[in-house]
Amino acid sequence: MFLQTLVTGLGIGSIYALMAMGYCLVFSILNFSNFAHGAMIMIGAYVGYLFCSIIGIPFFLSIIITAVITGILSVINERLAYRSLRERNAPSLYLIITAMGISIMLENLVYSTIGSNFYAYPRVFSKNYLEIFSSTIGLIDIYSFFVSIICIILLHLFLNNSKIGMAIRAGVADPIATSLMGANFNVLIRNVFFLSGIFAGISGVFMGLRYMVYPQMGWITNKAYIAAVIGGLGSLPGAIIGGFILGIIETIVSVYISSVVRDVFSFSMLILILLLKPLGLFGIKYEEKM
Amino acid sequence: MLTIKDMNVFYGHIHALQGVSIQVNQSEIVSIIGSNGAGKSTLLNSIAGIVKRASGEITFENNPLPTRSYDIVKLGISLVPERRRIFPNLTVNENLKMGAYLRNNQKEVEIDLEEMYRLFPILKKRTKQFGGTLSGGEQQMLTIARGLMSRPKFLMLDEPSLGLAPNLTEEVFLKIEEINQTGITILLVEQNAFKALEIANRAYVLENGKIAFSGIGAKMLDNPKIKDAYLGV
Ligand SMILES: Nc1ncnc2c1ncn2[C@@H]1O[C@H](COP(=O)(O)OP(=O)(O)OP(=O)(O)O)[C@@H](O)[C@H]1O
Ligand SMILES: [Mg+2]
Repeated sequence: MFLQTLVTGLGIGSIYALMAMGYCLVFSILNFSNFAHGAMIMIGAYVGYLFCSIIGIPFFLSIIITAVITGILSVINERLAYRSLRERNAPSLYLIITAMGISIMLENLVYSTIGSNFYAYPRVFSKNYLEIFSSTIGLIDIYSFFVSIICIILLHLFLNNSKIGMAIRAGVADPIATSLMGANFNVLIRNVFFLSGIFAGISGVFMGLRYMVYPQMGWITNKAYIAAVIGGLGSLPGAIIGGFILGIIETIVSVYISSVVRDVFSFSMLILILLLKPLGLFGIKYEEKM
Repeated sequence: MLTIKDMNVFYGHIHALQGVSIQVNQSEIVSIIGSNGAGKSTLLNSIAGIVKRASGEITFENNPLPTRSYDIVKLGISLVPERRRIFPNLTVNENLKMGAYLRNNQKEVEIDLEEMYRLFPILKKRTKQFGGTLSGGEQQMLTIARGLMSRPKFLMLDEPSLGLAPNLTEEVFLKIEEINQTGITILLVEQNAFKALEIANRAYVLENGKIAFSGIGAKMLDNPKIKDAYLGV
């Protein structure tokens, strides 16, 4: 029973981690919480459903296509909605409000075109459960865990071994000095939004598969935001660990206490951590950010 | 090499540069001195493209200077900014590689890295250390080295001796002369007016956003007005 709970927690947590990474990437370089990320995850769930269920492409191929599409949408979102604000040095608050607006707009766009129906993904695995040590382990948990781990490793390699990755890390610390090196800051931002969109698409497909696909599903991603804040907004390891912690604790609470108090518990944990460590578990503050 | 004609820069209502004209010739060291808030950094930042100018013409090697910083770096112009601004979360080696961001020949970049470690031996022992953990003096050496990694023809330095102990200041000025001897033209902004005038071929004095004096560096050291206002004698 405990093994099963733990695996479910890791499975859910890995998706929270993936979603939190998208928040974190954008936050770390632009210093604002991109609430349109939740809507992008919702769109990912619909796009994945389209390919996987209606067109009938294999599941993992659908994930890849979806990731590319939401990656591109996320870049378009930045280009149309945020860039002009950035270029006028608008305060973060304006960006946050714009992001919320985008999120509401996308949600209503889906609502008015596709409708408010709930859709369920078809059976994508031949078997849904595995029996290990007399526990039933959900295959979706295992797949989401491994897909997230692969994403985390690839992101790590990209940030640490590519020239653009290095420039993104430099841009996080000092955008102006990064421009002085000859880096085009807009290109770096485009890369960051593409990555964040990729993670939105992948996590959207898994969310859709696990629960259902519907216009308001983006709000579940508040959880990912909590995860990112718990870990320390702007810290990637923090976002990942925050995601896993939240997933595991939530599952334990719903199994051993009650699923009704699950969300109350998550939000209380957020408040508690912020009271004790206002920057989150791994939050960093660079000196002299000017 | 670089000519600025009648440049104006505003920050909101603050008229930071008011009709500034300067000229820097090939292989010179030109210094700009002036009190706090005179507009020295603004001048360098607007050449580097990180501060927008309202009007005025800048030509570099007889062509109008582009406005985007990455196009400016491509032409061989590099700014070592005020207050160091190294990347604290990148290693020393990565900081230097960021300096070579626009260069694609990896081999040449590696050669230049070695050259920087020869020019600044302090950095050699710290290649894997994060920039933020270096001492102030080491960070200053790192910013200068980073500024050289783009192989500039024209190097601008904004207060390279800020916050350094006297012996390190001495060392920084020696490095600047050494860099200049390799054929790199230098535009230097300094609080340490004495040193700045001493190593300069020519110098400008900036006062409240306007050029107040200009002349041969060594001669300005003897100018009573400048002595009074900037050399504290
Ligand atoms: N980003 C900015 N926003 C508003 N005003 C600014 C900004 N940067 C500089 N200023 C103002 O413009 C004027 C010139 O500033 P600048 O930094 O160029 O001076 P400086 O000569 O480099 O001074 P210091 O010797 O102290 O470095 C100052 O009055 C300053 O307050
Ligand atoms: Mg200055």
